[in-house]
Amino acid sequence: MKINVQPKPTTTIAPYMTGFVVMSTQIRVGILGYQRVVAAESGHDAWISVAIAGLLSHLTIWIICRTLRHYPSADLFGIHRDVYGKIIGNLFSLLYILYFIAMAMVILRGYIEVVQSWIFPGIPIWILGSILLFLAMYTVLGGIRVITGYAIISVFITIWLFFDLYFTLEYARWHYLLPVMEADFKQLLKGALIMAFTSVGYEVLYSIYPYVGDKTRLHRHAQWGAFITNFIYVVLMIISLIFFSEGQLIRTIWPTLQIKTVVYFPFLERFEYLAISLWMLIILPNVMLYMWSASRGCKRMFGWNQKRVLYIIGAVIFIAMQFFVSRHAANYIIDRMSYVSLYMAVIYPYVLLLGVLIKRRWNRREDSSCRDPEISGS
Amino acid sequence: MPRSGNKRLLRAGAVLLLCSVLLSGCIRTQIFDELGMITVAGYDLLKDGNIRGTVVMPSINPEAEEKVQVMSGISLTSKGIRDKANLQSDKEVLGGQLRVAMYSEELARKGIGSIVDTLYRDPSIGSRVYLSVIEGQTYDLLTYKFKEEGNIGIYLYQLIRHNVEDDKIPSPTLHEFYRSYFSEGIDPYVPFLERKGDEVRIKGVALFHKDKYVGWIPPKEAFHIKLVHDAYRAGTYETSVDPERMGVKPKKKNTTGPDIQMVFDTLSSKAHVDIVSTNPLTYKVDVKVRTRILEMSIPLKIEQPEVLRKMEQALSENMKQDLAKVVAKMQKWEVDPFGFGELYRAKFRGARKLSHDQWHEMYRKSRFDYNIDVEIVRNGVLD
Repeated sequence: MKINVQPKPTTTIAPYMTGFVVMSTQIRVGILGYQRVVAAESGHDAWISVAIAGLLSHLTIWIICRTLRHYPSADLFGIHRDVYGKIIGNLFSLLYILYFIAMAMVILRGYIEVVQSWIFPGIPIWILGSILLFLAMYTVLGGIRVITGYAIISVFITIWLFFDLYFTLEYARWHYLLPVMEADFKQLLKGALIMAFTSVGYEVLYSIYPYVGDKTRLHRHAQWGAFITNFIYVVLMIISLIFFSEGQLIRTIWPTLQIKTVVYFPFLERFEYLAISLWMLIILPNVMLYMWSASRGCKRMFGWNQKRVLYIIGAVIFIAMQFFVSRHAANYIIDRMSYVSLYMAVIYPYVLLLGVLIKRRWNRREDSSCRDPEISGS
Repeated sequence: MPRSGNKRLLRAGAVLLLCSVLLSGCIRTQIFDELGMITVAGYDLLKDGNIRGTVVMPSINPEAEEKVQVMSGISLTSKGIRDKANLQSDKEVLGGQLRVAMYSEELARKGIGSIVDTLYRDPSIGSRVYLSVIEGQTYDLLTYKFKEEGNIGIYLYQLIRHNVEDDKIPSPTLHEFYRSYFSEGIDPYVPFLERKGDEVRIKGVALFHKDKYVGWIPPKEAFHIKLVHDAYRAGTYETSVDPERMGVKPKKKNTTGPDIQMVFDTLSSKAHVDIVSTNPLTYKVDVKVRTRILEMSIPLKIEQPEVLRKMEQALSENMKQDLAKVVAKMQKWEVDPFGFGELYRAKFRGARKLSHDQWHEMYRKSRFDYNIDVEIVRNGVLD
């Protein structure tokens, strides 16, 4: 396996698209219900926790981009091979592939849970699951350009859903935010760590990196995407805190949807139903990118046919979803995955950067002729 | 990736899509003509501890003589009542159009937390549903043949809605009730309705301690809750002033004429509540009201600034007395619709863990200073 890959110029994406990719992978089902779990830790100061988590995601994206900058055109799997060698590198890559698959599964299951709770209590998992998986797989077959194009469309179609927050100001009780900083630092940090699951998604940068046309501008656009996401998260958190009382917020499973139940138009009485339906457009780019990354990883590591791997991954996700029928079970796996993602997407990039730096130094020392490791890698 | 793979998947997808289109016929359809949309639901407490629920659905059959269908069932839970209502109905009974939920006084006294919880838990019911407490039994009210109201559900909804929008009573939506119910520092309130002849009227505002109904106050007193709690408008205020304070000479000597009745409309009000001392807990309630004169029972020379000043003073004085009375009453009843407890929590660090009982212990002993500043900014088109 080569460490660096050079995709054809016709398959590359413009750097500004990575901003949309980061944004659309960060926003998914978690945004419907993160307020409650964060508020359970840091109370009415939860918005500070969310802001801290936002800063953390900016920092992590910076770390990821720094790691990638050491390579002209490598992805996560190539870097693993370069840093850890063949066996351990493949092991890490395999873990990451499993993580991608699990994330796609959890996102799909989470969305189906919302649909089952709000709109169709009787709809079985397999119907919605197979339709959504088919849509995702069909787009993934189009390649990364189609996926990013879809991500951009989904951002533009759904971004206006956040403007309905204006209607909630009628119910606002601003003093719920006071006194600021009542939670101690430990509680704030705990809230921020729980928030991390909601704001991960930027780890797909690792796998799309070779496909970005102008790699020098990648970092700036990725940060912009993350900034918009974090801004939405903080605003939504503040709105939720002034809209709900604390006891009520902790009991509400999907505060973002519950907020939408007070939005009322003469021609549309129940706004949240529209929002849930449109949410499909928000979660699909996530599922696509994770499935694409996983199948891409298999191709890179084992040289398998990516299309065939994709079908297998689709089948695995489909079967795995059937094991989490009840809200309890779905909640359990989402909870577990939030811890896993904390390690995989938030902590691991720092470890990897350290590995890359050590490896570079090692190369330099070993190579008396001072060959640039970036060239030696390709 | 090769195109042929796309094609094959597309074909498989087309089959899948076709299947889903065909299978969607298997999902239970809900045809409008076959649905009964509950617009109002009433709950009474029976002597044996069961709950009697009464639901009203509009009848869409043009041949029907009555505009509404009324059904009732007795059960321990509200969903059990819906099942019983289904047994009486030719249509599938659904709660998605519920506008008003009513509770009888006795039931409310026992606590309505669990019934409100089922409404809030049900995703098909929006959180803008109005709650209310009624005098007597909801069954009697909902089965009464009102002549003019037609669909009683929509009538009740409009009755409450326009009064809320005109700032006559504080907003009683399900969301706001539930929010206050789960906040330790404020108690919920909903309108208190009664049937009077062939009409339903809002008699006042029912006050709760947690989820237990304690008593009701007339709209005139509820005005003060809005004054302190809502930042926007507080509605109209009627007061009577001793004529001598206004500098009106009685016609005969040594007698006092009748009090001057005055009605004011608050254009805007701004309340600022501050805690000035903790031992004993003392609140300073600053209210700034801008009003306009709507009515005076005798003509006063309001073009003179000093008369206007006197009027403002008298109004502030009266408002202050009334507000003090209402707050004292609330303290006696152990209800805190003003949200003084929430302000306490917002002010002091570490007060987050204050429980509802602890707060009421403090609330009972709290003292209040009032400072009401009334400004008359308009007096209609007459001087």
